[in-house]
Amino acid sequence: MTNPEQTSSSSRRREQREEAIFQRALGQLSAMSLFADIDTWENPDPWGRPVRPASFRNMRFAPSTLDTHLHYVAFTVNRILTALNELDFLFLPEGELSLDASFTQFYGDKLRQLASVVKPRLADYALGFIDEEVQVSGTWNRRQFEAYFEDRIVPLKAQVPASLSLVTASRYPGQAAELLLIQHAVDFLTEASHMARYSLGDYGDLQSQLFRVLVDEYGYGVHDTKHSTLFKRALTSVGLQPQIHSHWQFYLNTTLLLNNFFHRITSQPRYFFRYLGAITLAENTFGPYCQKVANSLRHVYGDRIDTRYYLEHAHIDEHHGRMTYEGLLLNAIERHGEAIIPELVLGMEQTLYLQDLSERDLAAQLTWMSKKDDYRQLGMEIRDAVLADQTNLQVTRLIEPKGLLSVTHVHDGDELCVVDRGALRFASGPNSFVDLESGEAVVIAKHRLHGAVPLSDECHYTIYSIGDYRRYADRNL
Amino acid sequence: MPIAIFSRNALPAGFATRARFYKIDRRGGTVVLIDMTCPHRGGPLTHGACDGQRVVCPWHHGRISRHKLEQCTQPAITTSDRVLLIVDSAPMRVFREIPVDGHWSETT
Repeated sequence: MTNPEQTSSSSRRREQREEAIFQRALGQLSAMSLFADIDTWENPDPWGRPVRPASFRNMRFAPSTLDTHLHYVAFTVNRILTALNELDFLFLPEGELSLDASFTQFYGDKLRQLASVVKPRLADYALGFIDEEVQVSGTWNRRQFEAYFEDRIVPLKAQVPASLSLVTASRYPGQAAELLLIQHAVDFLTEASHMARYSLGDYGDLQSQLFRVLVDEYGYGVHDTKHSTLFKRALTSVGLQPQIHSHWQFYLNTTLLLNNFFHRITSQPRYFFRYLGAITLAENTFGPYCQKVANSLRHVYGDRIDTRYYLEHAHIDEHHGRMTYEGLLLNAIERHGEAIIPELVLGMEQTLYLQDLSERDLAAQLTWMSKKDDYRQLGMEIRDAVLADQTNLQVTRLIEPKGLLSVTHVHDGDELCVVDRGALRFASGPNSFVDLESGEAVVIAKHRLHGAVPLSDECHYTIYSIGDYRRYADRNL
Repeated sequence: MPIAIFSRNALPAGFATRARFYKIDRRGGTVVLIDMTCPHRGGPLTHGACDGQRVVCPWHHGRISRHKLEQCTQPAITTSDRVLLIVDSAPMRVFREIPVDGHWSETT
């Protein structure tokens, strides 16, 4: 007989072994060139996923919670996970192809092997808290489910997300609209690729019902009408890059989180019914959302923007909403019984929950970008007080050459960036810059995506980790 | 068939609608909704005394299996800040505490 002490010590040893394997695999991943820093805001390599490997090499990853889901560690997990989740998606750029190191590495055995080691744990770290935060219980019947759908889901069609008003009301509406389009690009450039995973297998009429939706998304095989083709036209019409993940650096943490959720529920068939709930929610609310997005983008860009992608969805999702609800959900209940209902509801509720986190994150980033001049003003106001207090703060002094780009990232507390010598371009979003000269400063708000690049031959600047700017300011932004 | 919504941090112990009585329980981190309406004449088992594995209805003293009541949980959704319960009609009375004997409170 094994005594409990032996069991617990052997399970501890196993955990330590697994942890060591996980950390070793992360170390190896951090050395791979696909994650390396780049020196442009746009990512030219369709297989490159810059994740600041110097930081993540020594990072202690841990499960996210509602309180920590915007932290830098969580963001890094979501970035790595997005990269690894897409290893089974084929990306080919337009034009002549040289099967160079990036391509070979992205689709090579080594990355796949490392992904198989780290992905399950990273997925748990990124998404585990959602299972704690959103739960469904009880015995449901079809009548109760229909009432829930009617009372809870259908009214969402009329909802107007705050982020759209923030785009049109921004002091820099063009930059705000770019941020919005870039968040859409995470999913829309690979549109329906998650869904396509469930075109495999053999599961009766539901498979054909889902395939009908998929066929629309792929434009019935006519490339010109494929939804991702329409979306690329929207991007290029306003000067954004249509190549996959060109704007990788400006994806927000929660945009990636939501995307990783869809990867999870489409790559493991045990989540099939949850996916049916999630996609039905999406198909029922996305059309009205797209109409509102089209209106907002027109407001910002006028006739310049090609909104056909959004208008196509405003139309076709009227059908997809009905097709998924009746053809997938009610059909699934009819075929497989009422016991599946909690999973269907969970799919809708977890998606709603993640959409809400994503909407809040986007709204905060849009506000941060709109107030970029205010944050510079605030930085100047508190600079002297912070410098006087620097012995009590974590201080990082940097000397960087012209053009050395700090790949975008976030901090877990407010920071003050002061340029000591030279000039620095500070980015608070796509094409959203504040140029700082010697002696100038900007407050970096916690959890807000930002990056920087020296404009002078050499730039000396200092980052003061102030935690909360209100300790030094007599006003709130 | 309305959805009753409560704050997750201020959940009542139960509530009554026009025709039914419900008890809100927690099992681990999961919120569960139990229909505590007596199958005999619709009495409030929420207010019944516990007699071993049975609850005694205060109206006609019918004895209902606790196990059966707890098995038949009603649809509930828990999100980070709210609890949504699918019920037969809107709650009319909310019970901050369910006045049942100590044994019942401890074991459910």
